[in-house]
Amino acid sequence: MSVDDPPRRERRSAAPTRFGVHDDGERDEPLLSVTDLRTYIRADGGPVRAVDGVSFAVDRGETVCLVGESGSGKSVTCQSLTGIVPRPPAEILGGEVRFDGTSILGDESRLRRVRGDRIGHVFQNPQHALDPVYPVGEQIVEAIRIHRPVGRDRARERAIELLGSVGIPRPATRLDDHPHEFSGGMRQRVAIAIGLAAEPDLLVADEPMTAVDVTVQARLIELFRGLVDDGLAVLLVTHDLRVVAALADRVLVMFGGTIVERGPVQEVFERPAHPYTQALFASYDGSGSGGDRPQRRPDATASPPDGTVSRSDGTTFRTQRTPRGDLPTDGCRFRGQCSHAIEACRGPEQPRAYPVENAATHAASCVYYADGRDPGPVLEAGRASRPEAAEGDDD
Amino acid sequence: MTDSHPGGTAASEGADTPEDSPLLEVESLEVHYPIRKGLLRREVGRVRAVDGVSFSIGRGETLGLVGESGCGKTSTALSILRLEEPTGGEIRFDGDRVMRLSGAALRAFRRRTQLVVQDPNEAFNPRMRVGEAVAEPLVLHGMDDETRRRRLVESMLERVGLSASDADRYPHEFSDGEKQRLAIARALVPDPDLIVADEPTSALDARVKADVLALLDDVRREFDVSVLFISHDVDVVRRFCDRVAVMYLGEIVEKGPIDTVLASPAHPYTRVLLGSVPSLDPTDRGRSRPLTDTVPDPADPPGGCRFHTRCPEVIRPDDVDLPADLWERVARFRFSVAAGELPDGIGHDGSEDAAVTPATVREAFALPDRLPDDAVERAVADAVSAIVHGDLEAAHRRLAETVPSVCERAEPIAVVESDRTVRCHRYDPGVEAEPRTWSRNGE
Ligand code: SF4
Ligand code: SF4
Repeated sequence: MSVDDPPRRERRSAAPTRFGVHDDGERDEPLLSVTDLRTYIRADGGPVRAVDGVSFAVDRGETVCLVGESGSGKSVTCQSLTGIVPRPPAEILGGEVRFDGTSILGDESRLRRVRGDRIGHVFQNPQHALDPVYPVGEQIVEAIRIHRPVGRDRARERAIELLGSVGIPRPATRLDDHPHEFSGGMRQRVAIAIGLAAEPDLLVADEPMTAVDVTVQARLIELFRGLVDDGLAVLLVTHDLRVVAALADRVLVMFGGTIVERGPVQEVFERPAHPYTQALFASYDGSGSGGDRPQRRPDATASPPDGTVSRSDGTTFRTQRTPRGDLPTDGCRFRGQCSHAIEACRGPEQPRAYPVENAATHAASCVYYADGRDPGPVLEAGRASRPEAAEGDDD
Repeated sequence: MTDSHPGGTAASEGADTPEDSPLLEVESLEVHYPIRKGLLRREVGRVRAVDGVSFSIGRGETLGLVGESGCGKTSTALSILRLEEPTGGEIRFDGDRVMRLSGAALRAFRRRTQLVVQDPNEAFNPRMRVGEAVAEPLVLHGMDDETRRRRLVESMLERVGLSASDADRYPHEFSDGEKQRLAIARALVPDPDLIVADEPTSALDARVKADVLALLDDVRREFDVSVLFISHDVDVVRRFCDRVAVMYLGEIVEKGPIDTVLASPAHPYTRVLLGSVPSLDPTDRGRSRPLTDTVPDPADPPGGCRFHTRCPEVIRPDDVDLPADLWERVARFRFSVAAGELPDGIGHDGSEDAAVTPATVREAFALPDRLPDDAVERAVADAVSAIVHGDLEAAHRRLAETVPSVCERAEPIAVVESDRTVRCHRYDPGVEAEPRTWSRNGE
C-alpha cells in the first residue's frame, strides 16, 4: 500500500530467550551462522558435492541473498539449515549451524522446535506449502496452532491479519477459499503468510518471486522490505540479480557448491570481482563485451554459437557442454568455464576467499586476488561488462 | 492482398506479394471464450482473451509481444499459427488469409511457420532419439529421403552448437539449454519464414539464457526468418527485438520501435510495467506503482480504458478542483476500496475495529484532513466513515458517484505518435489532457 504501515510485529531481537543460555559473550553473535557446511547428494556416478564447505552468517533484521544458477547448491544449502533437505539422497556430512546462540545441526529435537517456529520457509512453488484439499484459512490456523497455544477463534483472527498484511484483498472473505481459487501471485502471498504464521525471526525464502509477473514481483519485493523493516531477517535464494539489487544488504554468490564471492550489495554490484560473478552480470546485457544497450551481434559470424570461450593462454573450449557433475573436484570449480584460468587455478585446493581491493567485507575465491597477483585484467573485464542502469531512463 | 484458393500458395509466395509488404498482418483479432455454467452449459459470459489486436511483422523482423499472464499474448500467438480458432478479425500470412487455408496451402503454411515453446522438456518425446525429433517436420512435409534428412539434421545440430553425433542421443542426455538449442534446430530445419517463440528462454539460467538468445539472434539473421517473440522479460525483449507491442487485458496499448518504447514508454501501463522491473543499481530501489494490484477479470473488463482501475495517470475530470497529486491519491483511494486492497490493519470487510478512525484511514492513503474540492471531499468523507464502520461496499458505491473521469467513460482510440502507436486519452488531441513526462520511479 501507499504509505508506511504501522509496525505490527514486535521486534524480538532484544529478547532471544527461548533457547536459554545467553552469556554476555554471545550478545554479538549473529542470528544465524553457518560454518563449513557440507551436503553431498548420492547419485549413480558417485556423490555430488552439492554444498561443499559453505560458511556465512545472517544478522537480525538483515537480508542476505544467495545467488547462483540451478545446481549451484543454493537451494540445498537452505534446506540443509533446518534439515528439510530430503535424506537420502542428500546427506549432511559436516559443518555447524548456529541459530540464536545454539547449535542446531544434527540435533533433531532442536531442529523441530526451530523449524517453522523461529525459522520460516517459503518456496518457489507455493504448492509445496499449500494443500489443495483444505481452505487456506484452515491451513494458516493450523500453522499458527502448531507453534502457538492459542484457541481457534484467536488463530482465525490472526490468520485474517496475516493475509491482510501480505496484501490479500478482503482477507476475511478469503479464508474459506481453496488454493486454486487464488491467482499465482496471491497463492505465493498465502504461502508467505504460512511461512510467517509463527512470527519467525528468520525467513528462508527459495526463489519466492520467480514464477510471477513483474508487477506482482514488485509487490512481493515491497512486502519483503516491510517485513525486514519490522525486524525479520531474510535469507533469500534467487538467480535474479535484479531481485538481489532490490532487496539484499549482503550478497553471497554460489557456484559449484561453494561461495565464490561475498560482500555488501553495493560493492558487489559496483565491482563484481569473481570471474563467475562477472559472467553473470555480463549475461544481463547479452554480450559480455560491454555497453549498456542492446548488444546485437553485428553479423552471424561474429560469435560462435556454441559458447566457445578463449582462455588467456590462447586455447579455447566450449562452455555449454560442461555438465554440472563434471565440475573439477580440486582447484577452482569454475576453471573449466573461466576465460581467465591459469595454471595456479588447478589447485589442489579451491582458492580461498581473498579480499577484493583490500576491502574488509568484500571477498572473492579466485587466485587473481591472492597476495602479489594483479587482478587488473580480470577486474577490468568485469567492469567493462557491467550493465549500466539499462532501464532506459529518459536521459 | 489477394485471396488464395487451395493449392495456390506457390503463386502467391512470389509474384503477387511485393517484397516490402509485411510477412504477417494481424487485423482486429478477437479470441473470445464462452463461459458456460449449469446443467445446460448455457453461455453466461465471454472471456475476451484477445479483443481487437492489430499488428504486422515485416520480413526478417522480430516483434516482441509483452504483457503479464492472462493479457492474451499466448492466445494471439496460437491464433496466428492456426492452432486456435479466433472469433473475429483477420490474419494474413504472406498475403494469404490464414483462416481460409486448406489442403496443400495449409500444409505449406504449417511448414513456413514454426513454434518454439518455453519448456523444452515438453517439446521432445523422451523415447525418441533427438535426431528423429529434429527431422520430424521434414517427414511431415514429405521429405522421404532418409540420408538427406540425416544430413540436414546433422548440419543443423552443428549450426546450433551441438554436434552431429548428438542425433543418436536421447533428450534426457541434454541440459535444458541444449534442449532449447535442439528445439531451435527443429524449428529451423523446414526452412520457415516465421518462428513464434513463446517465452523461449524463461526457464533458463542467466548465462545459458544469454547464449541461447545469441544463437537465436544469429540464426534468425542467417536464415532471414521473422520472429514473433512472446515474453514478459523486458531485458530479453530489449536485446532481441526490433519492435515491441505491449498488451493489457486483451488489447495492445502501445507499439513501436524497441528503442523508442523501452527508452521512453508513453502508455501509462508500459510505464508501470517497466517501472516494476527492479533496477540493477542497488541504490535505486524505487518503483512506479499501479493504483491497485488487482488485475480485472477479462470476462468483465472495466469500461472506458481497461487500465483505468490501475492507472496512476488517470485523467482528472474538468470539474474536479484538485492538484494532480491529490487527484491521484483520491483515485488510488477509490480504486483500492473497489478492489478491497486496504492497507494492513484498516477496515477488513465486515469487522468494526476500534483502532480504525477517519484519521487513520485518511493517513493510510495520504489524504489530507480536508480536500479543497467540496464535492470530492464530501464523497471521501462519507466513504471514510463507511470504512470505519466496516462497510466497504458502501464506501465503494459512494466514491463511484463522484464525477467519473473520461478514462472510465470513453474507450481511448489508438493514436499515432511519430513512430509509435499509443492507446491512451492523454495522447488524443481531442481530449484535454497532456501526456506526462516519465521517469522510472514515477516521480
Ligand atoms: S581461480 Fe582461476 S579459474 Fe577460478 S575464477 Fe579465478 S581465474 Fe578463473
Ligand atoms: S486512457 Fe486514462 S486510464 Fe487509460 S491509460 Fe490513459 S490516462 Fe490511464
